[in-house]
Amino acid sequence: MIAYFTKQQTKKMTIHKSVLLTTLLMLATSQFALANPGLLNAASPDWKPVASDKLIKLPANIIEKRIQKDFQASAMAMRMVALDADMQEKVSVIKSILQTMSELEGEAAQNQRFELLQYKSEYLDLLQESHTLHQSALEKKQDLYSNVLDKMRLQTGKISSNESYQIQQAQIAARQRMEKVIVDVDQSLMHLGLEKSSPYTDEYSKNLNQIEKLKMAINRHQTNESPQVNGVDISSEEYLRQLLMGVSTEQSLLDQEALMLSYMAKLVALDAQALEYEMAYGDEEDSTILTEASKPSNVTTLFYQE
Amino acid sequence: MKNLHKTFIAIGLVFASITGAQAKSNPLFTLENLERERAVFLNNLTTTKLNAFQRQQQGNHIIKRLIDMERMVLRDDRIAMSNSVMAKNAFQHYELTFLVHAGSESKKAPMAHWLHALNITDESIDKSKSGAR
Repeated sequence: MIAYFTKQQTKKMTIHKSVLLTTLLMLATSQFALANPGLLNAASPDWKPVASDKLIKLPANIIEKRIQKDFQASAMAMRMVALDADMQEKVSVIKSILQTMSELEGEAAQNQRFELLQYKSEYLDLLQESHTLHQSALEKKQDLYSNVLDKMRLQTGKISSNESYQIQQAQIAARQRMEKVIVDVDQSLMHLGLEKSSPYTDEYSKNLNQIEKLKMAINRHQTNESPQVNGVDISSEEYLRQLLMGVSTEQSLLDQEALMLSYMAKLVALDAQALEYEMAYGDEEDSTILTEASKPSNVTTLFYQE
Repeated sequence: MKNLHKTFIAIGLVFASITGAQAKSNPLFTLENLERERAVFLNNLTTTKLNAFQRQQQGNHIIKRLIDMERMVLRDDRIAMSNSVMAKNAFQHYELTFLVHAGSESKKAPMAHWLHALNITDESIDKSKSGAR
């Protein structure tokens, strides 16, 4: 393509490329700096989850699904999906450029390298934004899960310090005590000459069987299933702690990805710098020719006849 | 879809009416009944209107009713929700509230168990004097 340009056009383009390369270099350096967490873009699409009382009343596994659903509907998640699609596109373009680059030579190869650097820089821009959003989403999730856990613990504490709860516990203890002697008491009725059991005792035992069956059906009901980790039933609090651990794992992996991003940005910056030097001072072959010609020992034969 | 929505509302209403009815009734009803019956049982011991045979006959009938009432109180979840001092005392003093079941634990007749729990012996009764408190 470059072959069709005139000398003037090529010179203009070289200046234009040089400016662009400097910009690329600066951008790559800024990406390198921004890869560190904490420097988040204030204008990025947001997600503002709240640990409401309604949310806390839900079973723990449903809490997670509800939060995930809320996140997916947020502007932040939508932007992340769009970024993923854009990055996918950039990656396929970069791959195709890399495939064709080996076939090109001279100015055309230089242009291709320039184009490649541009795409790489754009990809890193997108990756940077996506990384920032992921980081922000994880921080928000962590805060949310912590709030839910705190509120859950507070509620449990309130319940256990409640007067009604204490009476309930005393009643449960008394009931257990009564159940241990229930057979003895029923037998003692016979000794008193009162063999016929009361209607309450008869009806109660009949109903009790039915109640047990209903209770089993409730326990087996999928809506009432307790949260599970690796197939084992766990408490809501434990489930939330597992979720928080999952968030920490994702965060440490994101930190690692930030390091990768910074290294990629550094490589793009170095490539841009190399291209800029090449355009400004020519390639190595030119300088080699000059060096050979400038060596007196190579040209001495030109000055005398044997 | 609309019918389904109506059904959910109807179920919700039925549930609300059941819980509402529970909330409106006296949560201490069963406990009050037990306390009444227990008072009658203790009165049966001290009353002078009955002879020994009548006392035993009536006592046995009261015990039969007490068994049911004690179980009703221990199984009644509304009592705990009442948050009352009466309920708290009832469960705290199991030995004195649930005379028949506590007596069965100590292998004593309900009345003997009550006297034992309050440390009332033949000797202490002999030493006691009747009069206004």
